Amino acid sequence: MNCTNPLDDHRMLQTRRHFFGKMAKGMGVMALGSLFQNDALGMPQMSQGLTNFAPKAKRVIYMFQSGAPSPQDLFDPKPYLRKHNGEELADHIEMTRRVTGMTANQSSFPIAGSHYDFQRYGQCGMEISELLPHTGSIADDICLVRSMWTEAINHDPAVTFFQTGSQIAGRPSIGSWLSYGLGTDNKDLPNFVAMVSRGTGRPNCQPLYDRLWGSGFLPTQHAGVKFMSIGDPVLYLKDPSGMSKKARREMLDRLGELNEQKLDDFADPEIYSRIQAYEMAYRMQTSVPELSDISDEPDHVLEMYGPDVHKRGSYAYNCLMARRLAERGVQFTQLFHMGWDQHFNLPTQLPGQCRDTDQASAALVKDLKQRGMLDDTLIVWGGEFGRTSYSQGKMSKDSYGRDHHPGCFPIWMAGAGIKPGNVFGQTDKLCYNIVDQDGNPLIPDKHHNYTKDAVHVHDLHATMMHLMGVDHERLTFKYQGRNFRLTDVHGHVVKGVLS
Amino acid sequence: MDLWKSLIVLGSLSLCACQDRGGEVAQESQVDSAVAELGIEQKVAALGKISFNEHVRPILSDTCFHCHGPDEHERKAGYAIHTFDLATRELEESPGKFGIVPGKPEESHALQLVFSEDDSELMPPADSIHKLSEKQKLILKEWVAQGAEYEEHWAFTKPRRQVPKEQLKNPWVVNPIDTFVAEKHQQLQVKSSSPAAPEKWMRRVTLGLTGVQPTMAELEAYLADETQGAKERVVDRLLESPRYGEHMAVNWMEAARYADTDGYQNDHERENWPWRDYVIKAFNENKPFDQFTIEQMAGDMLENPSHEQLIATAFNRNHRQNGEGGALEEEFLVENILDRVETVGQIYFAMTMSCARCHDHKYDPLSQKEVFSFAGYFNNIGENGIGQGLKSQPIMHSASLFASEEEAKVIAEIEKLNNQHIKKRESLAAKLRKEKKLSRGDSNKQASQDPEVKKLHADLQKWRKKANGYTYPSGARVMVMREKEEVTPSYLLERGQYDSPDKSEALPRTVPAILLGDGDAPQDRLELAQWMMSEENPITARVLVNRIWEQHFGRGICHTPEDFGSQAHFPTHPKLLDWLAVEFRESGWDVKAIHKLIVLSATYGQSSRFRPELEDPNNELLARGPRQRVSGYVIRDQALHAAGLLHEKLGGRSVKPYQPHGLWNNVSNSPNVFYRESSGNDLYRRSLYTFWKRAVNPPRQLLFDAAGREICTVTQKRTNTPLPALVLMNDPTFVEAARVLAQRAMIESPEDPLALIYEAAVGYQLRESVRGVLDKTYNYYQDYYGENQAEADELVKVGASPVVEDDKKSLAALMMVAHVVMNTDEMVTSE
Repeated sequence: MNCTNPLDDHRMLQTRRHFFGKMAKGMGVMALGSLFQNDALGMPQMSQGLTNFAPKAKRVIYMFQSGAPSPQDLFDPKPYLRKHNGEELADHIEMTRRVTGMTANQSSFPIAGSHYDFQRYGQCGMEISELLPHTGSIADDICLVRSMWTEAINHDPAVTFFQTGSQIAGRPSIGSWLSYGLGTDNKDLPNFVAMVSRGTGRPNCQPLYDRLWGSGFLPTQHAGVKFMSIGDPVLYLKDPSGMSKKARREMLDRLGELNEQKLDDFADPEIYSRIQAYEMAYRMQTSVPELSDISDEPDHVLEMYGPDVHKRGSYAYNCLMARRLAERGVQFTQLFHMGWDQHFNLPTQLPGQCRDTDQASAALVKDLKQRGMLDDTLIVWGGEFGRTSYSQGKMSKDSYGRDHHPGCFPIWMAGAGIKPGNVFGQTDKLCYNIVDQDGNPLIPDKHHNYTKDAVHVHDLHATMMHLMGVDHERLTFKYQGRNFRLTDVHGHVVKGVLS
Repeated sequence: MDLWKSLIVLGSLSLCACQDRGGEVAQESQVDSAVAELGIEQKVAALGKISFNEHVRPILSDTCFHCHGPDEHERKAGYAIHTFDLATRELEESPGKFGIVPGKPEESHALQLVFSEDDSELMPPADSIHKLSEKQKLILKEWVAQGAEYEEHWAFTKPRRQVPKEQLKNPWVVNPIDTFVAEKHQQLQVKSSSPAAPEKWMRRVTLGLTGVQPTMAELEAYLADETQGAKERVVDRLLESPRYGEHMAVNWMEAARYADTDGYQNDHERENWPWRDYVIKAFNENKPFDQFTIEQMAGDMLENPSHEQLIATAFNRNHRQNGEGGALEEEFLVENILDRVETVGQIYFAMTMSCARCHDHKYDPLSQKEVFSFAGYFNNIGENGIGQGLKSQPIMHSASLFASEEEAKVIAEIEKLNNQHIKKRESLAAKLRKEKKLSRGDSNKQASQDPEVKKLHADLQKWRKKANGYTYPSGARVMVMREKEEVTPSYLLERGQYDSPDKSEALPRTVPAILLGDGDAPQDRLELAQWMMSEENPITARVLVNRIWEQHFGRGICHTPEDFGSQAHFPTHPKLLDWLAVEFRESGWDVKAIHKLIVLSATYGQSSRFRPELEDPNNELLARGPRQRVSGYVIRDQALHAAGLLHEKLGGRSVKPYQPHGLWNNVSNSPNVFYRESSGNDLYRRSLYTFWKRAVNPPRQLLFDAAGREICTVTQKRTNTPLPALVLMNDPTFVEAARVLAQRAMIESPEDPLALIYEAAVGYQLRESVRGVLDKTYNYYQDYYGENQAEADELVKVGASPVVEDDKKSLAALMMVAHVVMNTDEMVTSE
């Protein structure tokens, strides 16, 4: 997208010339280098050269399903649970895993078989729930991982873990790590965008927080920019009421003049950065509204995403935005969809959640594919942990609910470098433990016992970074005296999901 | 095209620069080779005597300690290099060989491996992310050749005063600070910069001490004062201003992770703001910093503690509190306690104690056991690890510490009545439910009709009405510390996991040995606080004074204020840091005196013009004055101050100024959680009073790099991106400030409104070069709004404050002038 005004470009160039004419005299290259620590546009000018090998993916779209979608009802068929519906789970397996405070004191742990049927989809015959027919239609494009696991059992630490590689608040998010490592050459849009939507399944649900797309201890320029669903799409983007574009341009030109006077006087490169930051802000005032204006999308495309696509702030709208951002070179797009936390009344909540998301998730994959962009876009879909096979609270004929279960859960990936039509990893018949190919339970432990069939959060991160051409052990940032990594001291690239 | 190429080169070099600080050693050689005219060997030779602390420790720590350092569990080949004794031992895996043989590089096996060309034996290993540059290798070699002397890590030794006396006669020197700076200048043959222009100094110091710009009257008074001590009088005046305490409180609030909500998923509102008032008050009263520390650490354990001393202890309760249904009490109790450990460790020791939560520290002599021994000081208040913060005992009720005695009394009465009322009503209702089987709603309704309940309610309303007109109309429930009598044992948690305590050994409370030395361990939290501020503690005075320095210079003398461990940046002026540390302590921890000393120094008073020829972008030589973007708090306060909108009231309940709609309910657990904007004066309070929600930080502060307040943060970030530019362009706060400032100019200075606008906003007198641009701006918009009157009418409507000017065209034109000025680099920069 080139929507910049040639005159603006000219002006910027003038400024640069001016600047280098002034600064280059008597100054070593190193000093100049360090001057640009905080790059002018708030983002590195170009790839920082940290790729360790050829990247398969140029960008990532992560569709985070916040609250934890139920595995047993969506991606991991368990006929055994149906067969033994209502029986005590403890009679079938030794319940060694910790449970949350919500069900710890439950006197009974009745097995809850899913109310939903599964069917085989695609040539690969992937089994997916009837609640997700559209996802089924892309079965041959996705790789379903059924053996994810995490350590966290509560939402906040678990989501934080997925987004930042640590349960403890304050670390940089994946998108900001990649922005820091890979930089950007995008002149019009931020490098890392986050968007939030709310599910109809459970309107009162798990909240989200700014830190999930924050930059932690990395420079703030690498933080995700949140696109809003009401008001300005980017905070403070719109000019005040009564200020025309012409009035704004004039104001920026006079501002530029004063800032250049200051630059002449003080020669501080920060001033130069500020001049550029204002110009980028101005360009964003055009590029973002243009991005958000979907009137140029043909009907057949809009129809793919479903009727919600017209509702700004809906999941479907955000999925379409994700594609538009991808087209415009944005490196990391993080969607969050809330409302997947079905502790009670799962049958009344889950179908709505699925309707919100199923069609648009699949449409995004298909849309990218038809544009030839799936080959270099990495897609990830999933939540923060699994759910219990026993019912939380009383179970009735019509209703059940599921508590948190970090031991095993599914996610799916698609696109760049991912082996399509593939199911990776499996769980036991009770959906309690991850098992190996022979059905023996695996008790993975990130410290001592790496098992290649089980995919830890750190392993997912390592794999995502690998596909972006970054060795997760090498991208580090020193803070508090320590070289921090997204994957801490863990993480393995999961070869089995790669094409 | 060429220009773009050069930009690209610069872009990639910028990474080297970051990484240079970030410690990717491999990058250094790249930079080195880019500039080095001098051969590396000559460069190393030029260092003369190699200093272990300055030159060697950073290399060993970064590249070797991970496998050959303090953490015994990670140690490879049984070899460690962090102490002389261990480093010079016979090697377990190569008998007859020694890692380091002092004076004999060629016999030092470890050094041989460093220089090895065989990848299979190279150290650091060929596949490690750590690489040594040629220069670093030569430094190690030279150090061994000179005898491989180890030094105690600088931060763990007690600071000493050693003023370079010969510099005292240097005419540039104003106070002892300058002697250290001048000494380095002399050694490196660098000239200091000329003094900053008086108006620049005036603005720098006013912003630095009070967080707002000087008024023209203040500037003119200073310029007119030609007698000796004019600067000092300015500084004294600023230190006496109540704004000083408000400004100083901000950093402390960020470090102490103060917030108005609990954090975690439910993010309930809490009311610890009387603690914030305590902090402001303490700074303004110039409470000695040891007392300030002791009260916050252990006010509850003092003899007959005052109300304020008890409120002070909220310092250790400002951590997040998990109210998520299903959260496990034991798990989050551990998190709370370790958060205190981490916060105290960061603020007072510049150590990352949480690094040793799961294993011994990789770089510093800090064991996992020591961390849990230290945790024993903080685990004994009988708190609930989970649930809403407001209900997590110990809690105490308090009015604002700025409330008058009468106000405080009334507020206490209201609290008492309120409790009585609720208690009475609920006990009645419970009885009704039990006896008459009424529903909850019906029982409550009936209970409310009880005559006694009604009377209590009427009384309560009466008192509330009385309080309504007060400056501080409501009180708060503050989370405080209250030490239990019997000690709760602290256990080492295997891998830091709450459910894996090693119950075989209850750990005695103690301070990490590296800090404690031979002294006796403090027995409880109070003794700990006293020890922390005693002469026995080697590290705290340096850590504190380094952060005070950073406030004024943008960078500490040690550039890693969060880490003084072996991975720390070696101080640019170690003797200055020591001198200031001792001075601070021996002054009786007089905070205002230290600020005064710094801002009156010649070093601080230099012009901040950039000096490219020095190749010193980070100003490590201190050969120019500080130039830094001010914080987001200051940016907003300045704008309100310029406009005359700033409502200066100290303390009280946090307020909710303008914020874009939908930010809260967009991410909160219910779509019905709305941000309820304050009204009237509360829209214009200083930014430190803005309600701080952890899940959704006040957006403009977030965009200007404020700390998130979830965990302790002592580092300051200052980035420069399009997002803060958009804030200044479009946030109604700033647009309204521009309008009100324009209004002010029309009324107060109709003959020269441009000068008033510029001078009130920036705090400098209007220069001709600037006037030219402002004139042009004004004329343009006069014409423009002449033709587009409707736009002018619309534009001036912004904000809640009244439009008092009828000439909307001129108002809009002047408003645009003010808007330009308020967006300038000059406005947001202390220079």
